Amino acid sequence: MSTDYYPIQQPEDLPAREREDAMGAYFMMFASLAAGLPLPIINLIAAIIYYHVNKHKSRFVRFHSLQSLLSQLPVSLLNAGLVVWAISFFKYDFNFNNTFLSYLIVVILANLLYLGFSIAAAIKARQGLMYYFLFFGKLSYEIVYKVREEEEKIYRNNPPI
Amino acid sequence: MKKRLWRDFLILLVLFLGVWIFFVYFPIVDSEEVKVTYKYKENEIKQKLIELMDFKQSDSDTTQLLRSLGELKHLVSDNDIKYELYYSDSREINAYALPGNIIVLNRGIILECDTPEELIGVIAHELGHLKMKHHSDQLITTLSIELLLAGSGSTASEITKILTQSAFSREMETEADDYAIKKMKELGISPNYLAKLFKKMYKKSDMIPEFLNSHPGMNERISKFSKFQFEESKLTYTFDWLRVKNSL
Repeated sequence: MSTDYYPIQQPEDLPAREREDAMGAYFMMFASLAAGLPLPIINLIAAIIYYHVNKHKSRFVRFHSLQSLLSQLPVSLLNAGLVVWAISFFKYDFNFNNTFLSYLIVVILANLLYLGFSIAAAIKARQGLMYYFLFFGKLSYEIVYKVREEEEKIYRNNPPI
Repeated sequence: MKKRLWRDFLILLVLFLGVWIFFVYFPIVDSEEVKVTYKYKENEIKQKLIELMDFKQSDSDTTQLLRSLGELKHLVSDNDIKYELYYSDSREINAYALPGNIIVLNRGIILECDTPEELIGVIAHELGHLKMKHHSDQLITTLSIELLLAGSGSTASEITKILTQSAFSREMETEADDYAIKKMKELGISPNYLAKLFKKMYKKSDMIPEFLNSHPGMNERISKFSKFQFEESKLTYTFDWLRVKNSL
């Protein structure tokens, strides 16, 4: 099994356009946040679309798009959980307990952390730098930069005979 | 790399669960306090509404009517829900369920009922709405705002408009009807009593009465209740229904 990784591009090798695309992956969230409230799922859909649009660009852009998308997944799930839990109060009974309040705090903290890290990552991306989130950074690096054998196949056109 | 990924994943999971569990045991806000505040507000809305609309509570010994309504309320009970039954002096043929587990019967609908069993059917239908928590948050919010404004010029008639126009969906009405059928059967009353009431109301008025306006198709509804064979109820009451009606 190959453990080779593609070389990471350095800031001086990255054109301004690519840096902006990479930064856009994080700022995309702010634009979709306004449209998405109170439906956190819209942010996620926007991030998936952004990743698919940019996945054929350079690995640097792909890495930042994927990191933004993957880190958004748990936050979106936490937010969705909060919305469902809160709706159940109105539908069923007002069972307001400490477990819910603590979950609310965890969700707020997760959102704040996500927001802070995203801004930091966007700034770094604009400077042409890599920025690794805990877990999601390594996971994105693994997916984007790892050399896979199938990618190495060279397809050639041949005559019919 | 895989090991590092797992390590990071575990760190995140422990962080998430750790913070959650920490705040469960060391809460910043006491959930009991929040609950009490919410309940207090709900009660406050209820009290304001009752005062403003001049609803009279059943179970009171002041009049024959309220005593008899109290008796009917005790008959139509449900272990899962505690409700209050009120009388409103409105001529409109209507009855409605309100947030805070309140059922209001207008003078109009009481006068339409030839027997207490018909009124029991109406109460059971409204209890169905309460039991299944059919009230929309929108109604609660609109009511709260209207009640807040009540001191500054908003009138009781505006609130009545909100109450009577806040129709439940067709599905909810069907559910409440099914509950009424179940409840009437439990009490040994034929659901056909309600069909009789609806027919009278329909014949009497050129327009569809308010009580039926928001409900499933009129004919559909009458035929649903008419399917049950009519049998005279064996229930006995301490009051004379005709006298009660005459007192109105």
